[in-house]
Amino acid sequence: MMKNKYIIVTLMLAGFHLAAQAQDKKVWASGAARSVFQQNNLSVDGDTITPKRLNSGHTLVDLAINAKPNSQTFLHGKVRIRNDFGGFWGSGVTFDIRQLYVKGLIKNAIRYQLGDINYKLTPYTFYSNNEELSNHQREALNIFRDITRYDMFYTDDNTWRQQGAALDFSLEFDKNAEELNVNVFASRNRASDFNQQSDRIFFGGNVNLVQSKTMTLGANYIDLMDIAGTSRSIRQFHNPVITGTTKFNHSIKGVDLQLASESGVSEMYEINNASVPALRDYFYDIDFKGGIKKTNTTFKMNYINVGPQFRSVGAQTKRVNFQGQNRMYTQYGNDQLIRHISSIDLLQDVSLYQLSFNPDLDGYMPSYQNIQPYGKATPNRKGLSFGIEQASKNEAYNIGATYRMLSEVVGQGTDDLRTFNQIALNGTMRFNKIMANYEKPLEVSFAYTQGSTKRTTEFTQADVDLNNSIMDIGAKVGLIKDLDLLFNFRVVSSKGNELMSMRNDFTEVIDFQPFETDLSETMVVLGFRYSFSEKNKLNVVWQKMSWKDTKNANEAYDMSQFAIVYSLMF
Amino acid sequence: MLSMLIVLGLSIASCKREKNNEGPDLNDIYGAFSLLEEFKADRTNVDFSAGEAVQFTARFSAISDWVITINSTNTGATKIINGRSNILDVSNAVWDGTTTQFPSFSTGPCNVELFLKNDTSQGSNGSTYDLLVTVDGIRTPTGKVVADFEAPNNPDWTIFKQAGGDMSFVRVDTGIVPQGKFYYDMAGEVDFDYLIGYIDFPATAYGASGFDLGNSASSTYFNVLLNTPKGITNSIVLFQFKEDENGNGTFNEDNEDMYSLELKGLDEGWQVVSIKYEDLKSLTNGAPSTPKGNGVRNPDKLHTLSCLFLADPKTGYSRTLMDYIIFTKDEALKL
Repeated sequence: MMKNKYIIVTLMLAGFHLAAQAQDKKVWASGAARSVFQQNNLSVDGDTITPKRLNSGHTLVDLAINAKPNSQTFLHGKVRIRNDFGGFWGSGVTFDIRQLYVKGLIKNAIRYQLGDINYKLTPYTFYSNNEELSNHQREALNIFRDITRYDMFYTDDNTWRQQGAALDFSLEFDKNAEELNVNVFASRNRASDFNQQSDRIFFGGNVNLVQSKTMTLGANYIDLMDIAGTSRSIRQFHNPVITGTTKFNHSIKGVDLQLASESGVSEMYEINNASVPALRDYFYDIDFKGGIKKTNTTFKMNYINVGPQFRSVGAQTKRVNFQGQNRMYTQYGNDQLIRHISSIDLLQDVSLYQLSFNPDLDGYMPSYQNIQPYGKATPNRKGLSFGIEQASKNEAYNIGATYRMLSEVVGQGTDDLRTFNQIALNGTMRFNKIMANYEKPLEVSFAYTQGSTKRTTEFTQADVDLNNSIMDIGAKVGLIKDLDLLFNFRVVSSKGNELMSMRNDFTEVIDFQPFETDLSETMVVLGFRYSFSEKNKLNVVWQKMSWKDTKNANEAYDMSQFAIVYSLMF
Repeated sequence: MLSMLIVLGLSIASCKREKNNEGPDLNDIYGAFSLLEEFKADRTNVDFSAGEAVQFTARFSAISDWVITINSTNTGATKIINGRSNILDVSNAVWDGTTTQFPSFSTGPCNVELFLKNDTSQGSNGSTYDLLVTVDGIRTPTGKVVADFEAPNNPDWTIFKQAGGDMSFVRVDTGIVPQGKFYYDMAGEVDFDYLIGYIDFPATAYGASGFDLGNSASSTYFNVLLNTPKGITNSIVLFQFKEDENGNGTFNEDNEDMYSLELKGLDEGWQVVSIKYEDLKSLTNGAPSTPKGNGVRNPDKLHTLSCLFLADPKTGYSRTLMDYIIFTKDEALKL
């Protein structure tokens, strides 16, 4: 702790000293600040043990020092000072180094970054899939979701936060091709304990050849591997994945056509461990897109085939650790049962989220996502999907629809395959864009996703019939200048049964466990947002969730929350 | 463009995948259940002291959860073997004389019961099948016994207890005794220090050969029986392994290695705690630290084993029972 304080003080002094000297902004400060106060209420029939009310809150400042010692080098260091409400006289204050990196340009040709890096490649190699229930996200729900994502370094472009180094450069050609882009990275994913756990690194990169506007070819490679000699263990885990990508663009009479594909193979094995099976498999993904410029309409069609033994840790690790426990009201009811993860926890409980890669296939909640729990890289899936999107040119509305019809590639314990069907609809109407002289926001949005999983076998106990649906209705109404009313109503329901795969340490299916649910979650969010500026907002939020699952031993409950959230970016 | 599409198509078509289904066959899980081979033991009398074991066998038509419960009619000792399979054989149903719920087994008759959850021949909740096995000789674990507390304390041990309240650092022979007739009771309330008391077991207490553990940290196991009584949640038992690396007959904490095993939050009741010597950690105030000596775990250089009984002074009274401290070779203690 003392060491951290010295680092912070040194950074601040150095930053301010240099800032005072440098009139051309060679050193400057940036960062963010936030203050959150929450009052939570839990209501359970007959519960005389769990406290009805919980208050919590914190204030934090992320202070970054940015330095540009020369035109080709940029340094960034960010410290976090956090004080949980109730931690007086410094006892509740924590200091953390939140972010450190240096980046620059070598000979005006090669870009590099050392330290903290945000990186991704493709959905099958290195990709942070969005957390469950987040594809319907509306502004009222984003108030807490954005805090969680900021704290966990999750970005909208699906990068993973890593610590290591990245390098990229481009070569331009006079003929036959336009340019060749090369990106490589390496990061340390796990530190050795100097005993039986070796250093584990994640490295790879891609090469993209832009032949012309018509054609782009690429190759991607990643490997998560243990470094021999960094511990006393002789075992070395490896998970290499190699893929190739193609993209062809063509325009015919105002229609932009694009045919893209990615295909590849993966292996997962351990050197010097004969008891671990080597898993090898392949996938392919063909994507067709057509865009009609005149109507601003896009049609999509996609076919995937991902083998049951396809393993790609960088793409299959989930953001949410469903084995985790909620920090808020961990136990409840007179029996003090563990409270299951719910919609409201996914929005705001940072402790449920993870950053490091997990070679096991993470657990997931079938009630929220049973069709592609690991995103496109979900093993043992094949099938078609279709989609259409349209947006008005004046941004007055946008609508979209997607239909997926997938199945397993191989059966689980039987030749009978599960089939997965999903329809997703969404739309936003911005009335202020069509009302003359009306400048305040006035928009209504809607999203609905319905998915089903079915399997019929010769044994009724092994039949699967699970139906999930998520519906969101949202609104944003400008009351006066800079003051908006935000609203969202969410209903999550899941009914039926599944036979969940039990996997061993090497991710092989070894048994099945029945899962039955009749889940109903409703959540209402009502908030007022005052925007001091684009980067400085004050939110006052009330939300209430009702949870019930008649097939679960856990009792139904209502949880309501009143919160004040102040945020500032500078 | 066309040629690229052809190449892509050919490359996809050239991939082959095994069409094996994932996981166990549903027939083996949900098929009609019947007992194909009755529940049997390969012997009716067993002498564990002679290295014998009892192998149970049975075969079912479908996978089932099963539990074999062995009860000693003399001591009440219980051994539980459970699993999920469609066969009981040498891979999953062998009793080597070890105990699940202490006290340990003694010689005499034992009732053996197999419970099959999926067998509805005796009722919808499952079926049971019984056997009788007689123990003619009990297990005699091999290894270097540091303390079994059967005899009065070795005068070469150093025993210290704080001047606290309700202090107890004594041998006890009441209640459930996991091994032999005595165990050691460590208890007390110290409101000014984490340390309640400690016992040092110096190598010199065991004659000229000391602990005589050999130099393989990967094949040396430290084992101890511990029992945290009901309602006690604050006890910390810390074992320290102090090595004399330069062979001068003393342990120097400034330049020689000390490895530790810190045990908190133990479950209620007697249990065997075992750790491989190579898995011991270097700790300072419970946090990982760099060893002060050569950084190599050398069981052959173990100079003193210390057992510290600790508790947060703010949390009041604490108690832990201890028995049978033993180093074993190649495998953890089975008792």
